[in-house]
Amino acid sequence: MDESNLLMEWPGAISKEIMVEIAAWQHAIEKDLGKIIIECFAAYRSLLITYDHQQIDEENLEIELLKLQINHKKFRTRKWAVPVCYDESLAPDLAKVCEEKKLSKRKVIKLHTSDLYDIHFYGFLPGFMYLGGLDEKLHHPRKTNPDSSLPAGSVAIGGSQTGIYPTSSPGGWHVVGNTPIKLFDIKIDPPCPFKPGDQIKFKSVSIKEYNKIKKEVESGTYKFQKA
Amino acid sequence: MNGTMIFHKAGLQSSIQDMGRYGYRKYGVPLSGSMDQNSAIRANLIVGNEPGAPVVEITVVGPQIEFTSDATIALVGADLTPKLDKKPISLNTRVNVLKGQVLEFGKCKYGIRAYLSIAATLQSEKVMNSFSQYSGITSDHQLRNGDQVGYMNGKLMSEASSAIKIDKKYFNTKKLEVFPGPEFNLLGKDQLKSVFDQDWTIGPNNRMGYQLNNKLMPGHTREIITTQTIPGTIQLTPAGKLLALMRDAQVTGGYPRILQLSELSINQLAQKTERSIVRFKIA
Repeated sequence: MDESNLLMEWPGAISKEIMVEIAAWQHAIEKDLGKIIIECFAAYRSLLITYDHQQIDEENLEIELLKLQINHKKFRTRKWAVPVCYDESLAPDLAKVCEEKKLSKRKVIKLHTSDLYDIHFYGFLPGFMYLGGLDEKLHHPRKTNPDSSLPAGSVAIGGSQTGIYPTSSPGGWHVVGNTPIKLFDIKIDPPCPFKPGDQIKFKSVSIKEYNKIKKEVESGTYKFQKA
Repeated sequence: MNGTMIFHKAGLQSSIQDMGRYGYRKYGVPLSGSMDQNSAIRANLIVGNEPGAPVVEITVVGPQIEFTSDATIALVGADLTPKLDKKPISLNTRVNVLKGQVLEFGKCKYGIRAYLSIAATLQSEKVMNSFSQYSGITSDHQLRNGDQVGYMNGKLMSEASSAIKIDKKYFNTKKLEVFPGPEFNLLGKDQLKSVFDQDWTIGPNNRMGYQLNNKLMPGHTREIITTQTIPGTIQLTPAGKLLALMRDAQVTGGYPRILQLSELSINQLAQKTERSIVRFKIA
């Protein structure tokens, strides 16, 4: 893109296969080219590499990239469970979504918690995951007037996507629940618990469990659960 | 000697910045860093600091800062009419500040961002390997009235022959150097003509980005799949406006990236504000 940024792009539509392939490339670049690379980060179909142009030029970087051994079929990813409370007190838009989608609350929760979502990459806000795999029955146009402030942990649906607001932020998505876990914590390195290429599954919890987990998170005793 | 900069007034938008927070964009954290890195680096070099040391970025309306111990400072970038104890001081050179003296600013003569360096180690919050203030990462995204920023091992240096020459063209030039962006080929004939043969007027702007307007520019309906953006990326909005992304911009976006500013042009754009005119030229 410029004198110190190289963009790798993959053709075709958004897919899980490309996500894993990009994650495998990112891992290999960070591991083997750490000395010449300042950082690299993924999007749906691309990987951006910021390199030290005093050490290497674009042409030689491309040669180094081609030498890398990428075995994305063996690349290890993980599955995580993310507790979500769908209680009305934490889900200001759930009733309206149910009404407009003509689905019962139970059905919406079932649909939202039954699939594994792919973590394609982080963007928009620190700790905001771009998730793939929302059931078509839950696709719902974004709000025409975004809310000026959604609380941290808001689990929401917007268009064909679902996501979690890691910090309090303005937002145009419909909030259907809230997670008590922290998805971005500056005091921890890395600040995000999950990696691009991993998958998450929402797990419905009661308000009582929600409060219990929230206390564990605050006291630092919460352990992230495998799905 | 150790001392403190007391910000009796913080000014319009003053913040601590360095060269940016590298290594965390994969978690969605913007780079941040001095908007005009060229001036920030020069300010540091004049006082013998590492080029990427943290500096105070000062925007349009300067702060009022009291220094509690002797130190040598430098100001590079915009001319915001700096004064020490009410007496005018020079830009682009070392200035010795004595204990109790107060640095203030007046009229904004040229440029909009000035960089204050100090021959000392700034004691400021460092988060994820960077001093750059950014909302949600550091405890605040800018300095506030009454804030205190400590400095350690401050020293007085000779002021003699420390001045550097600055070409005013750096601030006055209309010309912005660009590379074709990844979606450059989406531009049609009429759009290319507007982009390269016509004036663009700067609209609302901040540390995240600058809006650039040209009424003749045709819009478009092409959305792209969310992808990476970097400082200097110029996006084309559906309405035909351009958005030049700056240091605090989000790390990804969904508008076509038609141009990419050179590093020099990012720095030069950072010294401009609303109603200024710019023109693009392929580097």
